[in-house]
Amino acid sequence: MNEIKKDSTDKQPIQGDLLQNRELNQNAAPTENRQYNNTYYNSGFVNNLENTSEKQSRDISYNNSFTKRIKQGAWVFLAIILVGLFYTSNISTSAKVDNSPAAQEALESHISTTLAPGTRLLSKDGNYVGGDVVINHSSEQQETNLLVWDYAAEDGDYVQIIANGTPLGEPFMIKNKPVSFTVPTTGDIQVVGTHDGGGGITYAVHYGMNNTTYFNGVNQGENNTYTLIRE
Amino acid sequence: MGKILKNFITFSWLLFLGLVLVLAGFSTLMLVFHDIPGMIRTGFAGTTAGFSIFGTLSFVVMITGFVPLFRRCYYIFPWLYPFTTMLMINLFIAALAEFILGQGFSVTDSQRYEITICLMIIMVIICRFIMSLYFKIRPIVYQRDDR
Repeated sequence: MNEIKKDSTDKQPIQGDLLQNRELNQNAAPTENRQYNNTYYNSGFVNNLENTSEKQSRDISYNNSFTKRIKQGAWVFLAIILVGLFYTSNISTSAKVDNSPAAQEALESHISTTLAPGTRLLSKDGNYVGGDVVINHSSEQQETNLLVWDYAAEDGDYVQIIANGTPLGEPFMIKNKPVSFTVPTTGDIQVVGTHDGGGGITYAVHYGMNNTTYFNGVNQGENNTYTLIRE
Repeated sequence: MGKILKNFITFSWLLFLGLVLVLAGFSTLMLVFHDIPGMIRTGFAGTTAGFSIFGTLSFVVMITGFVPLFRRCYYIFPWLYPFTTMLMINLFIAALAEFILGQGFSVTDSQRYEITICLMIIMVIICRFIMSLYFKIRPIVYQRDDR
């Protein structure tokens, strides 16, 4: 940060002194666009306006390089904010809480056939611990699509999916945006709670074979088993 | 009376801006010395709030730059603008590092951890190099005769 200090308080024009000071300052910003007149400024206060209109003096201070630099920086911050808003609205995995009657009913019953996958029911984890679920279905498909997501806050809950004893990938962080797996339609599907980010591991699973969502919860180190039985 | 009101507004905003900068500095320190080491130590990503904080504080800095009454703060203390700029850039780099770690640590895999940490370190080095180069080419210079 470079700053030029003036010793003279003389009200006479000192344009020559300004040029001398500029030469001494090796790191000065380009001054080609700076327009000097017979008025000089001392510590930010105008001392002599006799030879310059007040409008001209305002224009000079408005257009100086430092002010321009500040405004350019403000435009950069505005651009960053707009990019952030775009990311939050379009790319971010976080979802809004659903407060519809169907969501309220699902929150109480922990099961839903009407809510879409990826529905968020809570703004914060509610320390809910569910249990094992037995699913009877009549689907003739050998495999089905399983969607897993966090129906509360994205607070760093990790789960691992195990299908009939075979892990389907590494433990991963569940978010409001569902993650898809292909699982068999019979057997045991385990959801293992690997890490609790706070407030319990709240997750939801949606099975494509019966189009049903189960809102469940598990403690860290424990698991919930979904037993799929074809009728 | 108008001048008194303008000065009051400017100095009030100056105090507020000071609080914002303290928060920015504190957030940067928390990210660098608490959140990021915590993620690396545990191997799990948590809630990444760095960009949210940066966005909020950026709004205040943006307003300060656009509104002439608020911009006077930078004329009263000429060092304040480069200080603010550097602080916000540091916060952005820390938030970006946290974001990269959060994305990389979202799946538990040791190889992925190593790649993510390397990417984060490279990003920090590159960003700070770009920042240094930029201020070398375009230093922020305030001269008293600018007013």
